[in-house]
Amino acid sequence: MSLFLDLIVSAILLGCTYTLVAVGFSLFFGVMDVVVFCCGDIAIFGTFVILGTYTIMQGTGMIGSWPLIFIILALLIIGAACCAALGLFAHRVSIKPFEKSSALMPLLSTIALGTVIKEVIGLFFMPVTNGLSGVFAGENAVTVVSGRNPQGFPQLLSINGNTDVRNIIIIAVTVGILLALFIFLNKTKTGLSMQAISQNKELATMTGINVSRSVVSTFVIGGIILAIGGFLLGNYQTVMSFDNGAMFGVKGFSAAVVGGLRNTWGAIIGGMLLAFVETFIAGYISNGAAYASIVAFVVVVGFIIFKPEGVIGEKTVEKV
Amino acid sequence: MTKMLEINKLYTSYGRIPMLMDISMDIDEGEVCCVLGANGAGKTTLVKAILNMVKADSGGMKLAGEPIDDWPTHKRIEQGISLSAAAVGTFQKMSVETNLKMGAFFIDDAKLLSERLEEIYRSFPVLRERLQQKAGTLSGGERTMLAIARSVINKPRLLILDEPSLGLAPIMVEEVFEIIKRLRDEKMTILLVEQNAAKALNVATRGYVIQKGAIVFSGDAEQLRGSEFVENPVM
Repeated sequence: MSLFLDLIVSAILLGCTYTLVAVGFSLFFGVMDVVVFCCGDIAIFGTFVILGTYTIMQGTGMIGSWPLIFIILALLIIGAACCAALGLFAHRVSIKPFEKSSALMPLLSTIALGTVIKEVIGLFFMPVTNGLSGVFAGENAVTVVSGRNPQGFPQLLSINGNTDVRNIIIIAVTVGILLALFIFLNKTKTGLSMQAISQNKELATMTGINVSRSVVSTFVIGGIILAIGGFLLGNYQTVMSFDNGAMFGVKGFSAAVVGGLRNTWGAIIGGMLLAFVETFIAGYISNGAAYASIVAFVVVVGFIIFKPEGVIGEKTVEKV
Repeated sequence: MTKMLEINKLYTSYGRIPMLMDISMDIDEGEVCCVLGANGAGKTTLVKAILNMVKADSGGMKLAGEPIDDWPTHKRIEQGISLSAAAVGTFQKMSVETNLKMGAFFIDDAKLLSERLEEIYRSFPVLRERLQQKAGTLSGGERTMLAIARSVINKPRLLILDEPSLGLAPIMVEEVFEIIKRLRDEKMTILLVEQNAAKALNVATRGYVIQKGAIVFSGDAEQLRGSEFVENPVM
């Protein structure tokens, strides 16, 4: 029974991180009709900006002397700002130049940009030679060390090593972000313009919406959400590697597809579904961890074949 | 009479294919002017060029005497050119009310907005019944009403109606043209782009006939009715 509950909790936590990346994918896709494949790498960029800033803060002695909540907020703001800037940069170099060409071009260029982001992070975070048991990992470290140059992520959310607090914060922050996004999309002019562009770009242009400005705001907002996703993932995984982004991105993308790529709220269901499948396979089948991703992707393929419009995607084909 | 819109020697092209050639026309304030033409004559391209959704290769445009050639699409709309094109559809997943509010994108004053919405509901009672319904579930006629309502909500200086009768049952076509008459009586300046020449000439005072991207005939409604271009069944 206790295993079952544990699995549910970890599935929800993993689902939270997937959801945030999936929301990023669906925002970008909705507004630009382009799959921005470097979402995962942007999120991991956020993780490592926060990790790097933390290390610098530690060097200056801020950690410990300043209140923890202030440090967390400062780290989040810096991470979000850097990811928003990276989002704008991604738009400038890998999407805008290909506006007039086929949709395959930005697909390739964002994959390429993702590789660049990944390797640049790798340059700054060389292998930790003195082991991971050190300052950050703590006694609750999960031993899922995959990828190159793994780095321990500061366990800022586990107060006194209490992971329950961390779990509650991760869930609360995700819910908070999603609520804020919901209000933003439905109550503000910028949000409504983003929805309008996603539903009917031509009509949105005719309504007087400045499409290029909306695209820029989408990248800023997407960048912020991805940064927070990266921060939560770092706290959940406890050990991060700079090349986690590709897998993280593919999971987020799959979640978005399962939810219906254009549907921001479907992304939540997609993220949770994927996380539950993975966690339970890993938990109940011996050596299941090795198959977890495989089964998760089989589920995605199933969705693509049998329900390509997504879990709650509606088939609204407008008659002319 | 001041001229609301003046177009002077407009040329556009799609890639290397010329679309509009040497289009010169003007619309007086408060009149209904129509542009008639068959499918593929370049009517929609002309409409899009007026809003800068299609780039002009050369030529000049003025709105109420002011050159607008450098204005991007959103500025032209903000400055009072409104376009309603039934073929473009609606924001399907938004409610009818939100669709209308999107039309009033540049009205920031909440009180003014609710006044304008109230006016719209009075002129389009069918929309009031459907306010909370998703626009994607409307019938063809209701959708056309919504498209027109959306484009008049911010009281444009120039209203462009692109084929409002497209794909509608005859009874709905009647209703749409009643609305156009009412807008005309309210002294709104309207550029009516239509295939249905007989209907359009009932409400318009003046018009242009466009064929293969060029204006081939122009005159007042009476002259147009008698012209070979309009009588030609290909139209």
